Amino acid sequence: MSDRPIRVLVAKPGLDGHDVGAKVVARALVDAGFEVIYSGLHQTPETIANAAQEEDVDVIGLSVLSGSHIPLCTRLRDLLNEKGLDDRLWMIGGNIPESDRAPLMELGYKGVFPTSSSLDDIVEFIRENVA
Amino acid sequence: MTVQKPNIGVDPAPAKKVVNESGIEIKTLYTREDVIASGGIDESLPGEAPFTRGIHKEMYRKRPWTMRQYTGFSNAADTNERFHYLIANGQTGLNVAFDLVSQCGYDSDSPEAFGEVGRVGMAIDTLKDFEIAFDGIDLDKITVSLTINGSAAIMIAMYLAMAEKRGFDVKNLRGTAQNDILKEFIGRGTWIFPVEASVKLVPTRSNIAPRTRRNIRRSAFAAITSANPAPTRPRRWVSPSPSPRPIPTRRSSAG
Repeated sequence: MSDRPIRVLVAKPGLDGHDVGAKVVARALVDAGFEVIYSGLHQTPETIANAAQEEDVDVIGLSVLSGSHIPLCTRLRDLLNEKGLDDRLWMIGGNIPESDRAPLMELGYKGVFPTSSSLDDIVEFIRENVA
Repeated sequence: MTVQKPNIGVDPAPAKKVVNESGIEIKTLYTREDVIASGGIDESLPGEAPFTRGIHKEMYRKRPWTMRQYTGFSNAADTNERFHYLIANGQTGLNVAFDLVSQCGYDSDSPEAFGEVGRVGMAIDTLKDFEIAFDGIDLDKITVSLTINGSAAIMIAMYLAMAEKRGFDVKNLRGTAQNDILKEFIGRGTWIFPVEASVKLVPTRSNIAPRTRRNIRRSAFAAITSANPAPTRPRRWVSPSPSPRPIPTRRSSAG
């Protein structure tokens, strides 16, 4: 690992337009000294996978509040694997029911931070898991 | 002997300044003088401006308020079943939930729709979907609220076309289209066109249905969604960071 700051892609897959949470988290990550790239609304798994590759990020953090996280995360996992980005830290936040935590972890999303998660916990999790 | 006066109307300690969301300072105590200063007691009757006693003369004595739970999920057929269930259980109106795909004006089979079809509301692609969703429902006996903004023009047109096709006189239809596009920019993000063009569309949409006269309310302002979505100013975090770059969003104009 070089001494460049940790690079994080904060992305909004799907058509959910609630982006306050994603922006608050992005701001917290900036304050923590990370380099943050925000995708903007309404991204497809394809545009997110491409951005992750082009920006060579360490962390891919998704925000989904519409309930479509399982299909979107499944598709994105396939694309990230195809691009050889399976060594990056995949995370997700938003309206994520507790019962979906295990399926998401199984897909390879190591951090699941539902609504009301603490910003400090998210920052800490990234620091601990990006080696 | 000293008689202690009761403490009525006097603050033991000055309360901290309270300012409401409109920037108006709220006093700790209001008296008759405040009522006079504000123009006195409003003596209008119900149904008269400024409508402080209700918008109708007889209000709910004449007709109870409309009961309409926000509903719509999966496809038009499942939603139709739910509509019938709700009406059978006493609802007097329908409040239609569309999926995000329909709200954004995409077709269900477009790449952007992946994973979102039929979630948070029903999927509407064609007039046929509207026909299925409202099948068997007496449109001149029920009020219908379409909770739709970005693609409101299309949805209102489809609703009216469906009603006409079934032989209803659109003059007898009653309901509301939310048609509040500013909320989408402020709170929910399901807008389709840029702000200026979108705002221009609001009255245009209202004119889609001139024949409905006053029975279709053409816009409902969603104050809650506008007031509550953003605890921070979104742009402020952008500047100090090493330039977060937005990925250009492809928005299809079709569909």
